[in-house]
Amino acid sequence: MPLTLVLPETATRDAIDDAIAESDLKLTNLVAESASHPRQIVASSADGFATFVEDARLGVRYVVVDGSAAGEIASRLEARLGAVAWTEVERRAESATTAERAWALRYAVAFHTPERAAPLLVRGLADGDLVVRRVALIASAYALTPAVRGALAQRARSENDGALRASLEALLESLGQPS
Amino acid sequence: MVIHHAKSGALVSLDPRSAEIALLADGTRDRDGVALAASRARCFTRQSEIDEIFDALEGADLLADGIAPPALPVLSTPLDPTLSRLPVEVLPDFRFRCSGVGACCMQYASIALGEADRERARGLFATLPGDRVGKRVLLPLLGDDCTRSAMTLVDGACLQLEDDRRCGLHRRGGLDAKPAACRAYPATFVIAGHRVTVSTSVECDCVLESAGRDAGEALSEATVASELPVGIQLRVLPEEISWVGDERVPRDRYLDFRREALVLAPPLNPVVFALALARSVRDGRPMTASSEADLDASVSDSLRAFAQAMTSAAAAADGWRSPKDRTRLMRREVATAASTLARRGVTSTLDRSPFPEAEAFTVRAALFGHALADGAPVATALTDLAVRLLVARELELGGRRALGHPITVVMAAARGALRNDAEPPASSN
Repeated sequence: MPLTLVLPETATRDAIDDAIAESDLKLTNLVAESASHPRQIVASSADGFATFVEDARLGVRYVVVDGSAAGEIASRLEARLGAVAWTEVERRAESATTAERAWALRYAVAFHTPERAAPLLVRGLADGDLVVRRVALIASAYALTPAVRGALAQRARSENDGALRASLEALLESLGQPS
Repeated sequence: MVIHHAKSGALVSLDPRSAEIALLADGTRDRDGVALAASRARCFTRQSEIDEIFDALEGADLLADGIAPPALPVLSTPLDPTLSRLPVEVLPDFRFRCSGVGACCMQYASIALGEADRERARGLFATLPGDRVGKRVLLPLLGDDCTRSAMTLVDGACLQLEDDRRCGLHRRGGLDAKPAACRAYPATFVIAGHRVTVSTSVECDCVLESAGRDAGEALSEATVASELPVGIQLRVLPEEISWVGDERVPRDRYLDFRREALVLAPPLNPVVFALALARSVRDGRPMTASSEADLDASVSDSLRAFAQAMTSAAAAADGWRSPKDRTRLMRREVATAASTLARRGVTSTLDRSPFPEAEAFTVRAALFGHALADGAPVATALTDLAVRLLVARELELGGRRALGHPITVVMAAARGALRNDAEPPASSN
């Protein structure tokens, strides 16, 4: 079972390179960013590998660890790089600050647990702040649960901002789901 | 590791670790590829370290997308049977006599050897000065291309040049032990359509001292290409010649132009002649008399560009060449003269040739040897030739003769210092 660590902002590319070396991993592949996938840095050892993902759209770095020693590798990486806790995401989602709520939405989907992220996204799509709603739209594409799809359709009907409404309609159309 | 920029002369020093990483850039890898290669070589630490190394190399203009091909194709003797029967035409009325001063052995950025040259010389290396292990005398001429090597230079001079200004290879193994291009120097070889043309560069005083005299040897005794010595490199004129700006003309049209220009040469004022030729190429009309004001205007921009390029080249040479290095001294002299002339204007220099015969010979040798069809537009090359002769006049009028005849000093100093002047005559000297 792959393990995902969502990395804090302090986990820079230099810090990741250092953690790879200090965790007895070896850089084995680099996948360039394209329209279909974000940039990935793959490091491995004899009994596991870690794929560091630099998602430029979300502005989030996370690492997916797999292999027979996935747990041990993840622990070593977490000790060196730190990891964002889900409780931190929930706490910031309740914040009165726009930047904090937007941060929560970006990081929520990086956990790769759509059902857990869905309530935050639904709430974000209905947020009174346009910035938060824009981030919610971007993040929603990563967690298209039925609840999120419904919230997208509802938002598309009621959104006052023309640009955001057009983006919502375009996303729904690409999903084959008329607004 | 010290990297020498072959064009600008700049040097970039890399510590051993950075050099190890830089060498992983083999021409097929981007920065990610270098990172992965470094990881395989167990020398990867951070991507940012790799970025810093390559940013520094890029900042020094040392990175390029692949290696630029030579301006024109180059072939080496022995030639393909289809070319070996081409007749050879040699610059008429010229016999060359080397004075043995050795200037040509200490004024070029590289002295190149082909595979045959290397094999011939290898047997003589055991006693080379400073070469205890026999490995550092020959270095790759270009990147990791092992087909051609460069002789080590000491203070800008060929390692083989001995105290009495004689070639050590020649002394040990006779004339045949010398690299083919050194034996052929100062001859230039060009395949121009249906014939091979042999002319001379004018970068050594011996050439001008030989001009107009009967003593000496013909540049080549060959009458057909198959008789040329092995290892000689020949430029090949393409079927279309760069003419003016982006315009190209069929080779035959260029050859007609050259033939007519050679009939007109030698003129009374070779600089004015070269500028008038350039103008006729640009205007597409036969040569007509031009006013000095017209000529002045047409040459000023080129002169400023030349002065700027030589000043940069001189500064680069100052940065690492030894005070005794002839190339460094020549570049400084030429840069100073060119800058002075550019500031003052050329009007007073245009009509005063202190050495009209030498200038006329230089123009004739360039026309005959297709030196004006070397990749740059012919019109530009003609103007550049006029500029160089003007700078030579400036050197002469300023009494700057310590390094040799001003024309050969300017021509040799410009070689390798400017982007469109790549390698020395015979392309491997």
